[in-house]
Parts: sequence; structure tokens; C-alpha cells
Amino acid sequence: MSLSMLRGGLLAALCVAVPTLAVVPAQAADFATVYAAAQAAQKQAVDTFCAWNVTDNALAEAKALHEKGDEDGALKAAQHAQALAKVSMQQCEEQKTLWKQAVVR
Amino acid sequence: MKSMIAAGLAVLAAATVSMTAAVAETATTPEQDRVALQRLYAGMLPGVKPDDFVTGSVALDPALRTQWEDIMQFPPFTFAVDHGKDLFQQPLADGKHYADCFDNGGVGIRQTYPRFDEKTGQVVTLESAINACRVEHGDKPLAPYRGDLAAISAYMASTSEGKRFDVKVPDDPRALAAYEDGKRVFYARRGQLNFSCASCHVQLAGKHLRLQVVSPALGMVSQFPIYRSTWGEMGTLDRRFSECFEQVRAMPLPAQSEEYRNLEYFLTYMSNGLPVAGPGAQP
Repeated sequence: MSLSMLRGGLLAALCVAVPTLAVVPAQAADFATVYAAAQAAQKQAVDTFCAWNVTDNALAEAKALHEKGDEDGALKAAQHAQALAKVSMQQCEEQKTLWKQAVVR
Repeated sequence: MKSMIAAGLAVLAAATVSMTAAVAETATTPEQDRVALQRLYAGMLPGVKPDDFVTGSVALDPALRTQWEDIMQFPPFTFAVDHGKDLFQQPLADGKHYADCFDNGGVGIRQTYPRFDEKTGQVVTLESAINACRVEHGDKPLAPYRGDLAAISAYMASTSEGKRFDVKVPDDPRALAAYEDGKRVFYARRGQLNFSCASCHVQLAGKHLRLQVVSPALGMVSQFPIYRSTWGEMGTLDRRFSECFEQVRAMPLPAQSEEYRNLEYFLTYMSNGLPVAGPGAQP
């Protein structure tokens, strides 16, 4: 193996490793932030009796995937949980007045 | 400019009138609500006699009725009633009895619950009154949904069999607010499926959801506590509420929460005039 080949190999390895090293901590940080936000949104929904049980399922899935090391899946599940929690709150807010339209008269 | 202001004022006035009309439209009395709901079901399900609504979906489906009649030859709630009677007669921690906590010694009073308690400003259900009695006399409250609480409630309901529901909403703004809140819980959509109680038990009453015939809201409370074959045991109305919430993918509320008690208040008022048929059984 020549020296130039060795350099080329190291360079190639660095090209692969550096972006990977850069991405993994960023994803982990994203997950922690999104998961915490999703948990907070769900807590607000629970406290106001607006929560959906599927949000808890999505949070549990996100946690399980994170523990398995599937950061992409964990992040997606956390984002899904956050979206569900937000929509449940929105539904609750809308229904504060909309329910009156359904009353049998 | 003047014409624009005039037009703006006209729009504002129209909006005010329409908002006032909307508010007036929602301000129905409990009695108007009850009459409207009973009239709706009479039109939707003309073959069902008024008193038969207390048997729920059994009144709507001949095959289900046959199963129910088979079950009722040896009613599965009998053991719960006997057990509930034993518990009811046992002294509480300070030597007092359940009978000391209720009108008429707790016999033949199911049809008057839920009640509005003017001291606390809260709705009191039979189950919450049983637990309040225990706490007052030094015992811990019983676990909700099933077991001993359902058994005592079943025994008390059995002493009211055939008596007609007569739940009052007294002339107290707090009582009316509790009733209105129960009405809101009934009609508000919730959960990922975006269903309200009314979506099933008004709009789909008598229709099939998969293999189940959906029961009407009218008379729904009459058979509780109830033995459901799907549970394989007795359960309280709270248990059924929580199950419904889960089915529409909403988070159930805590047992005997204010919302559940108010919902029971509204539903029972809607069934005023119908007989107590609890404890009951459903295939």
C-alpha cells in the first residue's frame, strides 16, 4: 500500500466520519428538544382534559426508538406526538363553542 | 367615508343581533332539553316504547333481545347485589352504617341521584356519596369502576327497581352551570376520531358500529351499575364513560371527576320519568 493510497483512505474515512459525527449529536439534541416539547404539550392537554390517548402512544414509541438508538425514528415519533398534542388542544379550544351547534332542540 | 362607517356599523349591528340570537338559541332549560331529546328518539325509533329505552340496545335488536332474555334467566348481577347488601349492612370504622348517610336509610333512593349539593356547589352521584360516607365515618374510599363500590351501588339500585327517575336541577345558578357543563361534555367532540357522546348515542342510535348496536342516550343510565359480558363483571357508569373516551382515542378523565359527575347529571336528567332498571346486564 502506497503512502498516497493511505492518505486517500484516511481522507475518505474522514469524509464519511465527520459528517456522521456532526449529524448524530445534532439529531440527539433535536430529539431531546422535540420530545420535551411534545411532553409539555401533552401535559397541558392532560391538565385541561383535552388529551388524546394516541399522543401517549406516540411519546412511548419515540422513547423506545431513542433507547434502541434509532434516532431518525425517534425524532419522527416525537414530532408526531407533538403534532397530536397540539391538535388535541386545538380541538378542545374549538369545541368550547362549537358543541352548542350539536344540541338537540 | 360616512357611507363606509354606516356600512361598518350596519355589519356590527347585524353581528350583534345574530350573536344575541345565537345566545338566546342556546339558552334552553333542562326541561326543554329533555322534551326535545325524548321527542327526537320517539321519531327516530318509533317502534320502541318509552319505558323500553332503559334496556338500551336490547330494545332495538331482536337477536340481542333473545340473548339478553337468556342472560336474565340467571341474572349475572345477583351475586353483586347480595355482596353489596352484605357490605351495606356492615358497620363503618366508627360504628355508623351507610344507612346513616342517606335519606330513607339508603333504600329506594337511586332514582333521585345524581343530586346537586347546595353546600358544596357540586353534583353528587350515588357512587361519590357512598365514598363520601365512608370517608366521613373513618374508612378509605373504595376503588372506582368495579368491585365493592359497584356492588354497594348495585344493591342500592336494586331497592329502587321500577321507581322513576326524578333528578332535580334546583333554581341555583351553580346547579344550572353543572347541568350545562354536563351537556357540554355530552355534545363536545373529543379524541383523535373527533366523536362526541352524541355522535354515537344520538346520531347513530339503533345503527350498527361493526357488530354492536349503538344504544340511545335516553335511558342509558337506568341499568347502571351493569354487568357487561365484554367486562365479565359489574362496572359503574364511570367505567363506561372511560371506555367510551378510550374508544374515540381520547384520554379518559379521572373517576368521579367533576366532568363525569356533571355528564351523569345531564344524562340522568334526560331520562327523568323512565324507570330505574339497575343493576342490569348487557350481552
